This record gives sequence, C-alpha cells and structure tokens, in this order.
Amino acid sequence: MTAEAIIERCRDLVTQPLGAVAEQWKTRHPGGKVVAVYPVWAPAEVIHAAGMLPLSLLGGGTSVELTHADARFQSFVCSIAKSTLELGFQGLVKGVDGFVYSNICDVARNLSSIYQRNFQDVFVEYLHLPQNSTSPSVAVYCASELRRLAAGFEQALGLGVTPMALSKSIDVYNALRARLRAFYAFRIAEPQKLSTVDLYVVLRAATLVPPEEAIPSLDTLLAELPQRSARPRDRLRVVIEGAFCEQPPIGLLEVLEEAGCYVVEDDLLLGWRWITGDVAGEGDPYDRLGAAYVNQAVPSSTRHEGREHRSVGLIEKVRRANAQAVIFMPAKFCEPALFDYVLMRQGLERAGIPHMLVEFEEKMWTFERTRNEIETFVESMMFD
Amino acid sequence: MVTAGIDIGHESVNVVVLHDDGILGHATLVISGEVGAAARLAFETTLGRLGVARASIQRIFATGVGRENVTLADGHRTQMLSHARGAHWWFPGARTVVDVGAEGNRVMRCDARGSLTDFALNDKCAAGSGVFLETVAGMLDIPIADMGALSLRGSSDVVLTSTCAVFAESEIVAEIHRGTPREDILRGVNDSIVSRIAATSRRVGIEPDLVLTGGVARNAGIVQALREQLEMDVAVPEHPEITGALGAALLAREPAGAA
Repeated sequence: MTAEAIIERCRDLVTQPLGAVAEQWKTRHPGGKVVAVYPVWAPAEVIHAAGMLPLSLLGGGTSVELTHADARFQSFVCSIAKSTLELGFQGLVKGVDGFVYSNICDVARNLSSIYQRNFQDVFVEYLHLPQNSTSPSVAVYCASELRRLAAGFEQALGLGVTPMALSKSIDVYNALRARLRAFYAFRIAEPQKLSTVDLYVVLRAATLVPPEEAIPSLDTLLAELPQRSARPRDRLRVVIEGAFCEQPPIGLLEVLEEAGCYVVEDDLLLGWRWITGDVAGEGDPYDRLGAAYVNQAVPSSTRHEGREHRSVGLIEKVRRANAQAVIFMPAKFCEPALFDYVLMRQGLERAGIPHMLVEFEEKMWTFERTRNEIETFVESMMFD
Repeated sequence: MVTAGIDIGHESVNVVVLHDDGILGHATLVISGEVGAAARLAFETTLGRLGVARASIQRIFATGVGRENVTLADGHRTQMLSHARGAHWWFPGARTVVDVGAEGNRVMRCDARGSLTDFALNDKCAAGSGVFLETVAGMLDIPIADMGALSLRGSSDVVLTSTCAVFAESEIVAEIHRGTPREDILRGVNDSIVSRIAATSRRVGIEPDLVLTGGVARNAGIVQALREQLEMDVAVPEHPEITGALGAALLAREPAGAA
C-alpha cells in the first residue's frame, strides 16, 4: 500500500463516530469490550491487557452540534468537555462499554461524574493520577491506581488483567510508541515530506485500532515516506504547544502550514506519546508502568513537575527540533494550558525564542483572522 | 528604483507609486466587484494620472485582505508588516502603530528600523472599526467627514459599550430617543471605539512615538480620544489611508522581498 493510500485510510477512520469504530471492531471480535480514554494520559496497556480495545475519546470535533451539553455546562467550559458529553446524549458512543477520565483539570473531573450520572449503563472510572513528582512513594501510588482500574474492569466488565498479559501489552505499546517517535524524528528531519495534517491523522488513527494492527501500517508508511519527492521550502520551523487535550480542527493545522510554517514538533494527542521511551525495568508490570508515568513522562501542563521550570522541557523541544519559534495553541478556556502559558512565555523570552498565541476551539470553522496573524508572525521573522 | 504598493481594504483600494525621492503618486478607489479587478483598475488609474508606464514599475507588492488575489502583483505582505513599514517611513520615531480600518483595528510594535516586533488584532466584532463609524453617521444623518469636528464639541456625558457594535447601536438609538445632542453621542461613540483600540494596544504594550494610520485617522475626534485615553501624543500621517500601500511599496524595494 502506498503512503497516500495509508494516509487516506487514516483520514477516513478519524472522521467516523467513535461508536461506529467500536461496533466495527466488535463485529470482528464478538463479545469484545471497548473502553474510551479521555485525554491526556490513560493506561491503554491495562485496557489492552484485559483483552479490550482502547480508543481515544476526543470530543465531537467539527461535526457534532451541541443540543444537550450546553444545558449542563457553563459557557466558560472548554468545547471538548461539552462535545464529549454530547456524544453520549446523541448515541455517538453507543458500543463503547467503558470510559476512563483522570484529574487533568476541574472540568475533566466533573465530566467524569456527569457521565456516571447520565449514562448509568456504561462503566465510568476516574483515575487519580499523581500530581507530586518528587515524593519517593509517588510511583508506588500511581501503580496502585492502575491496579484499582484493572480491578474495576474485572468487576464491571468481567475481564481481568494478569501480570503476564500486562507485560505483553507494555511491550506492544512500547513498540507502538517507538514508531510514533520515528514519525516525529522523520518530520524534524524532512518536514517537507510529512505534513502535520498527515502525521496527525496517522497518529489519531493509531489510537482507534488495536496496536497490533497499527504497527504494520506504520512500518509500511515509515518505509514509504523517504521516497516522497518534496522540495524543502523557505518556511518557519515552529513548535505547537498547548493542544494536548482538545484537538484543533484539521483546517487550523492546514492554515498553519499554508501560512508559511513547518510544524516540526507538537503536543497533539500527547497522552499516546506520554512515555518517552520503552517502559523501563523488570518485575511487576503495574510498578513499571506507574514508574514510567512519573519518571519517563513528557512535560505536561496537566501534571505538576516540581523538578524543573515548566519552560525547560519546551525549550529543549525547540532546540531538539531545530525550531525557530513556538506557537502556543491552547483551546479556549483550557486552564492548564493558559496557566502554564505565562511560565513558558517567560522562559522563551529569556531564551530569545519568538512565540505567538493562537487560541482555538474544536468547532472553529473560519481561519482567516488566524491565517493573517500567523502570516504576519512568519513575515516578521523572515522578512525583517 | 520605482515600486508600487496596492492595499486592498474591505471598502477601498489604495495604490502608492514610490521612487527613490519619495511618493510619486497615490490614489484611493472604492471597491466594487472582484478584488483582483478592482486592484487592477485602481493601479491603472493611478498610473494614468501620473503618466507613468507600467514597464517603469520594477516591482509591485499587494497587501490587505485580498492580497493573494491581486495577480498583477509580484508578491504580497500582510497588512501589519506593511503598516509598520509605512508608518515608520512617515515617522522614523514610530514604535507603536495603530491602524483603524473599515473592519477592525490592529496594533503593531516596531523597532528603530521599522521592523515588526509584536502585534495584536481586535477580537470583538465590529467594535472599534470604521464600519461602526459609518453606521453611526447614517443613524445620525451626518456626513462622515464632519463627525470628528462635531464630536470635539460634545460633552463626555454619553457612555456606550465598547464590546459589541450591535449593543452600542441600540444604546445610540436610546440616546437619540432621549434627545441627547448629536455632538455628545458622537463623543461617546469615539470614546467607545478608542477604548476598544486602547485595550488592543495594551496587549502589545504602548511605547512612543505612536502613529495612527488608516482612514479613521482623519477623524479628529478619534485622534483626540486616543490622546486622552492613552495619555500620549498621537502622530497622524498626511495621508493616513495610504500607509499600508506605502508600506507594501517599501517592502517591494527590499532584497529579501521575494514573492
């Protein structure tokens, strides 16, 4: 299969309702269960080890009109929370048996409760992930939360997780993450051959199929990409930061590139790349996964990192990707991203790295103002 | 070197022809129809008035909202970069440039070379824009050209919302019904528009010298309100509406100015 055909297939998959994706998998796996995970991170390995299909739960995107959720949330709540709830009311996640939320922000915390109250025929779990990174017992605590989640699956859905199965699932997701890292490394090296829109749909599609199915396609694509012919253009190399939960519309990513940027790093779908290398160590798989969550994690606005200033990881990312600027792209009303914006902005200014702020909503449909701002930013750096 | 800049606005197109000694000529035409055709007509009209042949123009840059559709141009640049360049040409001490156009306002910070260092656009509908002023002129049955002078005679008793042009219009209707003098309403309108502009300006920081560009800069009431709210002198170019086109013509001169 050619690179274009694989990407087209991914593009088609990511436009399907989550419930339809779940039902299609269940048709091929009679009796199987599907669990959807809300951003940012959730242990897909634990879901997979129970024999279930983990799916990313990313709201309604551009296609879902809010007819119920607006009545249940305040106007200052981010779009992904509202549209995720709307998916439930409109039956667009019918076929999904469980939902996992975590303590990334107050809205997500309450969304979990609202889901439990409104949809009592599905399993809803809320993970209390550790916020403290420096305590010696934090990894142990994280592992205990993962065990609690596995016990919840067994009790509610009748599917248990054995240590051996979890170890195998960790290996499979290590392999998947290695491929995703390879894509990101390729884009840093040759951004003209892999647009951010293409990478995004490939990555997102990989969160909608079993990892064993995704990996061969990703390998084919990785082998095909270097053969693409594309001449490098005089564009601004930028890092996108802040879109780790609610996802920007694809149209916005297109505008970024059309306006003269090569996006060489981003935090889109960050949870699926949360662990930066293979999950380390040997022994109890819950302990290994808990330790990886704490000690092998990407910097994120949804977890307090007491060991270094919030801007350090971002500046490292800029340097590693040989980027020239940062585009902060938080969703409207995203408190974690907007709180950290101040810290990151200060750090970038101390390091002399130019930046700009572009807020978005998942249902944003007109991009002219944003295009104008980005073009101005690009021009101010390239023609001055 | 002779260059030209074409600035496509929401309502008008401005053309500047620039040579080494300064502005050779300029023109402003109201847009009707497709942007590319309007730009061509304005450009050819300007050349005709000046008696300059097309072949003598070495480079043409377009700017403004429909800049990509100006096919006769050799390249294009954004409004904000163009206005910063143009304002700096008029006033080399310019460090903050406020452009108030038909559909919105934008604020640019620039350095001693006229290079753009930061910018912000208004984000509240038509509040703080020229179109709002036109609407008010229609409501009060006053020629736009007279609005500034009239407003300077008004008192500051009328306070209007600055966040929504539609709400502001409702408030103006209420003031008209109350019998409030037109001068006072106009003063309130100017204060409302300028508070929106001031809010945008404060997002990027304001440093003197401050230059006001765009057609709205011809409104003396707006200029006065801006001076009062920002507590700063406000410089206005001789032809504020052509600043973007001038900037585009200046950018067309630059070696890095590839299309």
